[in-house]
Amino acid sequence: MTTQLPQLNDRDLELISAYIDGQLSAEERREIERRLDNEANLRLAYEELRATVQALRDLEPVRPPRSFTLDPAKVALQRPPATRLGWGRLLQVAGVFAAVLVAAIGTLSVIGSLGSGAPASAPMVVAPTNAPAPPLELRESAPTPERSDTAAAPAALDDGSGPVAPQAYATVITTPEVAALPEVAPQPTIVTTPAISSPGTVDLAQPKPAAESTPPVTPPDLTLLLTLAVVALAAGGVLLWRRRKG
Amino acid sequence: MANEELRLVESAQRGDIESFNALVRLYEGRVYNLCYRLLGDADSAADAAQDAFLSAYRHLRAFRGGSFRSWVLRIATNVCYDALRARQRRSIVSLDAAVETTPEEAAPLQLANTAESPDEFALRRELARAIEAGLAQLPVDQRLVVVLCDLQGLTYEEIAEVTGANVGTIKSRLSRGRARLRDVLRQGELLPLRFRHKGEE
Repeated sequence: MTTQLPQLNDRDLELISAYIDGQLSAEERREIERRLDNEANLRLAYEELRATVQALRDLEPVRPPRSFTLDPAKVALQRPPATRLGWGRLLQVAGVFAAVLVAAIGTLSVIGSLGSGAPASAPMVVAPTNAPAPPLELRESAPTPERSDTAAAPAALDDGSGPVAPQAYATVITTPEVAALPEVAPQPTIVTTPAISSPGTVDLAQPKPAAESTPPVTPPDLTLLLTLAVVALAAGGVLLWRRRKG
Repeated sequence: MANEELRLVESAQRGDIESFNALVRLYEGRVYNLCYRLLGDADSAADAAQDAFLSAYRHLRAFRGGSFRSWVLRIATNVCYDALRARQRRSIVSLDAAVETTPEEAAPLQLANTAESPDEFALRRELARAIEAGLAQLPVDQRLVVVLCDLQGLTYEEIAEVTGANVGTIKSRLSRGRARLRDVLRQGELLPLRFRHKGEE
């Protein structure tokens, strides 16, 4: 009783399926109609598929067992499309912002420390003589003087990484941006090595005494505090968001 | 009709639950039928339909125009996919088993009209069961397309909106799904006699 009908290839199957739905272009339709007239197997496959589609279309729809309308009283508690944009979302955005800020601060710190050959020597030299504000200014301006330095004085680069540090340090100090700096700059130099009057590539060992003589102070603390604050903000946002979602 | 639907949607988006319920009444039959054909049993289908409307209500502000019917059917499809995945994880009953165990709770077939003979009624019932069994055997992506096209009467473009697939993919899935169902009907000798006779000659 099993019928041995020739199996169509996928392309022909798709064509007659789309032909049943009237989804062929005019050209494709003419072509398939020509073939249906000439190819008995294709004609038979088409008739079978059409009968199958008709049986599917005749299948009666199932009646829903109940209505799915929503109960206003219950839904009122769940509503919130509009009100959901509250603290949770706000803190979420703040968290992302905080993360970006942390990354930016970290990057700046790294660049700053890389800029001066002896890490953290430049900020540490300046910091003790002044309020917490100047170190921040220095750290921000440190990369730019260094870049201008390397561009302007390639000779200093030839000496390797050591000489670059004092020179960068010197340019930071002599930057005319901050009016107080010319006064501030000599103080650490006097404390550490009174002989530093001419910056440059001469004294390779000078940054070391400076770093040793001045204890760590406010700038790293400030960075740390700021980082902790933004991390706490981000964590708070995530926690609140999760609680609301859950 | 489209204008009335748009008005209801806009009103529902402003928080009018009655307008949303009017939309639910418009489409609950379609949504339930889609869920029933995809999941294979009445209880799961009812739960999925309810979840779909609840989800639609919660995300109503995300609806940016177009066909509300396609949008809500898409949500229902996603709910059903989630249910199928969860079922697969839990390894509960198979779709075949679900279909086999629920014939009495499935759509009660009634005599289409008074002119239908008991034999014709019996044949129609048998055909319906064979199709349901055949649908349950299809891969879910083919089943979805066959249900949307042949049972729900959607165009290829509307199916593309619901499924997110392109028209070429839909054509392919539809033809393969139909061919599998044809094989099921052929095996059950449920295709019209003249085709079977031709095949045997």
